[in-house]
Amino acid sequence: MAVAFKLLASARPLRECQRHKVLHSLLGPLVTNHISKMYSSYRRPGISPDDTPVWKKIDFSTEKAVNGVKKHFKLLKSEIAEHVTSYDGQPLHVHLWEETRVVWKFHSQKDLDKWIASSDTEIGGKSEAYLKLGKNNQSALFYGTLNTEVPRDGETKYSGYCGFKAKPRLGVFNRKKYYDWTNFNSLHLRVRGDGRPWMINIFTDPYFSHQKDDMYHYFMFTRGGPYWEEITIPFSKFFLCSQGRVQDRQFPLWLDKINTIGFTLGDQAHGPFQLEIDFIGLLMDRAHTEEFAYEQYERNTKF
Amino acid sequence: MPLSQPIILATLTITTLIFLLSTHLVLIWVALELNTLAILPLIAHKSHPRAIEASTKYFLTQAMASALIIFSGTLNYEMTGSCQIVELTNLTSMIVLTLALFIKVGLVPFHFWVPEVLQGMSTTAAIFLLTWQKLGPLIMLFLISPLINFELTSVVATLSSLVAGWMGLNQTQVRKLMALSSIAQMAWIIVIIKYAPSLAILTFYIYSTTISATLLTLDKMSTTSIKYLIISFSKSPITTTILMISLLSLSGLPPLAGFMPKWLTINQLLAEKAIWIALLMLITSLLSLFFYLRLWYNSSSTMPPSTTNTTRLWRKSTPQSNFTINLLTMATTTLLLSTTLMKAITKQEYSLG
Repeated sequence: MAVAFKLLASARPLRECQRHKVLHSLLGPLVTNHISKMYSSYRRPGISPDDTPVWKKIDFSTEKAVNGVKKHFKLLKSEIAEHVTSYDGQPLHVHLWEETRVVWKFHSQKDLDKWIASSDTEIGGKSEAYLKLGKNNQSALFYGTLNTEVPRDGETKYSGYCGFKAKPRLGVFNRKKYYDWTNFNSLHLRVRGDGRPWMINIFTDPYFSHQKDDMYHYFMFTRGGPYWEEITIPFSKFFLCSQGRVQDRQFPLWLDKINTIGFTLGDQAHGPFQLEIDFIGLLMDRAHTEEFAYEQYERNTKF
Repeated sequence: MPLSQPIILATLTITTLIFLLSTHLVLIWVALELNTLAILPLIAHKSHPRAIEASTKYFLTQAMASALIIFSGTLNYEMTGSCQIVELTNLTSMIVLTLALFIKVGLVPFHFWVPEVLQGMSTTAAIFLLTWQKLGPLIMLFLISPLINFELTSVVATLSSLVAGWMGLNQTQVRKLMALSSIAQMAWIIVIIKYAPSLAILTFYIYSTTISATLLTLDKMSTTSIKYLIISFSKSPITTTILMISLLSLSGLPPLAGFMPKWLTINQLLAEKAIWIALLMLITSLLSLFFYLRLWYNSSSTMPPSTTNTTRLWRKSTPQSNFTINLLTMATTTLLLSTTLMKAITKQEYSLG
């Protein structure tokens, strides 16, 4: 999926002065509007860089500030109480003994607002993807058209993907909150697909930027037809990729710090698609004893 | 690489000897840096992305603290012309050095790295981090103890005990709990280091023994979460009993060994008229006691409605006898009589005085 961050342009005099190019890279944030590239930025070919200064993009509204302060302090109060009385919103004994949990269900627009849909239009593609509530507000329907036509910009070679992912949870003062799924060993979904193969992506949000592209993936093969199916995918099957490339050295998915989960369709089959999800949950499958599905052979052996 | 482990252990041993033998700030700083570098491969041993993350966090934190240490030494040299740690008379240097050592040890408000680093590493490496790696900074604190600011240490110690207890209240990951427990135990060492440095060293010895026993037991049971402790008794009752004794000793309950340093520390604080500090330390230690008792309750005291067939323990055999763990746990219990002896000695001293 294309990265949405854009590089802000430097001040014109510094940009044009050759002598200051070295200085600018060192002192950029201090002297210009240049924001350092913490994450890789992508700018679509043919689009001019955004020269708007950072301070012009921020909405300095007193009312928004006051409401924000009130909201966050209220959240802080409830978080402190929750810290003492419960774990992740439920009593500790329930958290310790539970064997199943429904994490995401789609019964209202509020549930749907926790998800975000995207497609290759970010890189100039022509796929369409929409996310809405299903019949009787009992499920979520992700539908659209996959278009594999490559945008003619001279740079892009591949196109044709659509996906949707859960927004990261935010705590008080917009701190990141993670899911703790250590009590479970499988992902359990009730879906109604169209026969297309989907990819499930789990992001564990590493702390340092050199691991920012690390993500765990596995496939979800759906059956077409009017019947619902329940898919159970053990976490031991998920494999590690970085920027979409499967890594040689594989490691099991650690479940104590999960950030988001997403679904991607990129099977290079031009045409409409549809996926209906009833719920996404977790399961402790006692019969599943596999810890990690991929054997690691010793490299650089002695002989 | 087959020789890496002996090299790492040799480096750790040599650097620890340098801490014990030298008082020159630059030499101690070199030893601290080598110590940090030597432990990094142990932390990142598994090469899991989280282990690499933990070792990176550890390196950055310790490097920053080392930079502050050499800065304080340089400042003191400029002001007084001395490089000896025992002659750190410049106030700014003393405060910078103290804060740097608090970062090294992981006390509030520089404690955030401890649970994150411990969560990313294996339990065996965690023993090194929580015991051996604290030797250097504690030796430095011991050397500067006559010059240390008691107000600073008492505030940091009280906050550490409070914050560590508070953070552990809804924690279910065992390694993070041990990290927070370590922060709370360090608070007891720091609070008394000015007035009774030898008592601080005794506290550290008992803490090291007990936490090693606890972590070795947890490693033996392959548990990373309280959920897996729940079914540990049915799988390995003896190991669980050993864990129970270690946990209760860590919590400072009599008649186990962990009670002695806490009792003596409170005694000493009261003798120094630091009544409020003693009271606050006692009250904040109740929070830590809560999560120790929770671990004990879930592992040894109850049989919750969980099946014994778990993915964690299905294939690993848990030997019921282990010499190292038994030895360490015995060390936490053979001091049963010590509390009575100490009381008798103290009474005798009062009666003679």
